[in-house]
Amino acid sequence: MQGLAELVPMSTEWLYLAAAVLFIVGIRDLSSAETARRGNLLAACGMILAIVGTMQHGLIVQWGWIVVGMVAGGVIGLVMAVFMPMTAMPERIAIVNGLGGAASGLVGICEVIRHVILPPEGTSASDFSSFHVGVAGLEIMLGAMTFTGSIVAFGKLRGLISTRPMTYPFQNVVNIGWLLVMLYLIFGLVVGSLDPVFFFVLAGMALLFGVMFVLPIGGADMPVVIAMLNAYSGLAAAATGFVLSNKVLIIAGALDGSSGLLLSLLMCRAMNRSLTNVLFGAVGGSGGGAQFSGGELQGDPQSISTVEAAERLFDARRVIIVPGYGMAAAGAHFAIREMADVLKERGISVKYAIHPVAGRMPGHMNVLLADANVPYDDLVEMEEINPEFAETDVALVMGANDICNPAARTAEGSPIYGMPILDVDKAAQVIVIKRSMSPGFAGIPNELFVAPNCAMLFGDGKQVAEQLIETLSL
Amino acid sequence: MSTVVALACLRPEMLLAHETLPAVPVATDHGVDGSELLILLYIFILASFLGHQLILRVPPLLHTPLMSGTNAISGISLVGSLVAAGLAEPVICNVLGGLAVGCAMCNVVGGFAITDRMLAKFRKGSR
Amino acid sequence: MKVVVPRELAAGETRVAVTPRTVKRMDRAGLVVHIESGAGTASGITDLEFREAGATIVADRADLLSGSEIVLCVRPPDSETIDQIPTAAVLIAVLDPMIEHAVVDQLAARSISAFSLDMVPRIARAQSMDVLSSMSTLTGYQAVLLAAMALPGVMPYLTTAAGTLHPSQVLVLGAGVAGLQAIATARRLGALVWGYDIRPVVKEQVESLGAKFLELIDTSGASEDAGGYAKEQSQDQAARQQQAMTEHLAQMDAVITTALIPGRPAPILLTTEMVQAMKPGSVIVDLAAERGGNCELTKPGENFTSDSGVTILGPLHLHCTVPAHASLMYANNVANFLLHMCRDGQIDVESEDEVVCGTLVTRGGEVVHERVLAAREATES
Repeated sequence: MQGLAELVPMSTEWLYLAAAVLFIVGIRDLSSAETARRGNLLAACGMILAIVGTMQHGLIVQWGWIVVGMVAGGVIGLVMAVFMPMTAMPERIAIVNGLGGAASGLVGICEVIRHVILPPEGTSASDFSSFHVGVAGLEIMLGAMTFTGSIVAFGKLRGLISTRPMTYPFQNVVNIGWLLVMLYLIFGLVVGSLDPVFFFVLAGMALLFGVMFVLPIGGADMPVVIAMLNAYSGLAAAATGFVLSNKVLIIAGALDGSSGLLLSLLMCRAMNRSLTNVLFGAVGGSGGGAQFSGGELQGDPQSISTVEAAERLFDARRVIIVPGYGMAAAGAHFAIREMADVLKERGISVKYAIHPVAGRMPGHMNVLLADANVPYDDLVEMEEINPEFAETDVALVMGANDICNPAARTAEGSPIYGMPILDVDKAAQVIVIKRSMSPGFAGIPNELFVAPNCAMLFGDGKQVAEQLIETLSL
Repeated sequence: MSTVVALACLRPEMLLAHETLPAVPVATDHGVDGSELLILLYIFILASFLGHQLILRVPPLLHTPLMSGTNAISGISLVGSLVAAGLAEPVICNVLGGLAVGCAMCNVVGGFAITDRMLAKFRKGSR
Repeated sequence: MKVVVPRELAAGETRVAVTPRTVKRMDRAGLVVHIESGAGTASGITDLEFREAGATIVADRADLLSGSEIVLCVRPPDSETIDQIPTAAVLIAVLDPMIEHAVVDQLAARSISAFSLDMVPRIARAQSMDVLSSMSTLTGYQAVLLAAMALPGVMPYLTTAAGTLHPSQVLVLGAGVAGLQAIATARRLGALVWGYDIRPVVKEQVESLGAKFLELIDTSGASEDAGGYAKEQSQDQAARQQQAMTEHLAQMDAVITTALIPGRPAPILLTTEMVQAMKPGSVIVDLAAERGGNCELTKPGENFTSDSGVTILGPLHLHCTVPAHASLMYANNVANFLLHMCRDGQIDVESEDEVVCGTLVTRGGEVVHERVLAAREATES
């Protein structure tokens, strides 16, 4: 936009260049665990430079609103970062992302007001070039939908909104139609056939669209959604950059946009699903989540990817591995031991809980784990280890079923009633590695699998263990 | 000559305002002209490609901090917000702009702080 | 209630039905434990250790048994001992009731409520009381050691300056508890191990221990019954399998057989011809010797070398060669069973609990166990 650009001094351009370089180097550093923290710091410095550079902008004449906004925003942002618990990580990312989108949208509206609705003396609305109109429209649309979309994502993650995909027939048709109407509005505004009030109509539609777009996506898929929304807010920033001919906006926006898109694709691949399946799959009841038959279990098991499992293991201080016949059948004992070694190197305590009837013969687990060179000290028998589950962060169940089925405690009439079991459900988190939801030797469904603190990691035991090793060795 | 070169880095309208120039294509639109747009497009495309390449090298365990970090970077919209908030007039722009500054600041500060907290635990070796 | 543990009198029996730990457990449950002097000697447990655990040591057997309410044995007590047990007392032992009719009758005649731990239902929650699994674990392990000692060579693969020692090839027939443990032990010693069973489901289990499953001909039809035991094969099936097996046997250095059928004589897996096809110097360990043996040439209780140079071992009660652990496991099985039945220091022999019912052989002067009765009818008819 003409007004902004002409008052940008040279020093600002140099600062913008430095900021862009810092962003690039910062992201580059994020690719390794050792330099990651430094990378974040560098990117933050880049942002500071960009801000400082902008301060010298000729159009800025009054500082009141700026100061209020910066102080308020800074304080709130800091408080949120420091005081919300680590487990609420995705929610926090969702909120701040939404706010970023809101900022873009508001700036777009500002520009529209400034140049179209209330143009300053000496210019007229038609001076606002069609290109600018188009990009401002995009800015508003992307900003608004990112804002509301992020709020819905936050709600789903918090459980305030149902985590089930909320669908209705032809939903995808409606959504696509909505999008087309919005694009048409932008087009109409560009060619001048629509009254500027339609900018606000566009904003309203976009706000709704954000909600409509995210509602049909399952709660477990929110990380992918957040990555996509992040990409959108990046694109909004890039659009602003085109409008203002501001190169640092373009660069930062492009980095953000491409990283968000790529991340969502990578996350989908890790979940073994396509992006379209995640975003649109729940409609019509097809796809949208891993398929499984839970038998007569109350509720659906929660399924996670290897990467998520690795994250949980990474954060743990105490891990107990519960081997079962499945580990033996998969020949995964060597990989498990290697994974345990990787965890131990990080100072995580790892023990193996050996149930007296795990496997198909007495001592089945002992034989295999000894073969894999697991030190005898790490193997703990049931009576000794049961009290420790309550203080364990992650219990990793590999191919074991009946020996940790809580039905043995309470369900009279169950074939395993009365059999002493491992108190795996008492751990803070349980991750079960299994090929499918098929029952164990006793042929009954396992209540543990639908417990709120339990997540299923479907796959072949040996392959999953090997993937975990790879992911955990940064 | 150097003055002209230096000034040539600025917008064409500025040049028009201060000096006469050899003929340089100037768009009838105020603001972006064809060659300028082209440059910006180059930058956008290159930056996108660069972003793609950089992200590919990030190991899966760092994906979440990466998302948080790039999210903070998207707070670059702060730049636009600052100008809007600092305009002489109209007041409505100042208000909206101030709000936008607040939101974007939250995004930036919160985003970098959250990312830093996440990355604090990524230390090699025993804790 | 007064719990009594007499010394085992059967020749070669080294186990005892209690350990100091189980004495303490019973003590805590309100049971009073009396043990015959010297009962634990063969297992390496002294009278003093039992006393320190809270048991009373009694020197005279008659004294011990008088007034007893629960008697814990390993093998069925001899008839003199049974006569000394008060009527209506409870006896827990391994009676082999499908075959030992005389003992069962005598117990019934005295109205003793007899529980035979080899009849414990093979369900998940009764696994801690399963004597057959416990003892099989030990015999499977020991069988491999016997084989290793009888072999003219070593088990593992060793490449040395003085030549390469090729690994022994070991075939385990029957992949139940004993068979699987044998497979595991042979693997630990470094041999090349094959496992075979007529139940195809076992293939995965064998492979889970790192051994190979011997594929013979396809066995159609279910070969596993409801109790998880293998069903007896038709004659035709058996003949075809024998032929295929013979070819493999020629390469084996050691063959360990573990096939048993509950209440019936052991099936013959190795005929004389099959044994003749084996290498001179090879070894057969027949864990089914007590029931006649899986090999036609087996002499129960003896070891000898056949004319063709094959060493055939027919050990009886192999678990008795590791009495410390055998007693530990058996005593735990007994205690787990007893304490399962025991409520407030009392035993309810009328209980309808599946585990209790499934194990009770005689009560109120009669034989009550279905399968035992069925076995009797079969022999009488």
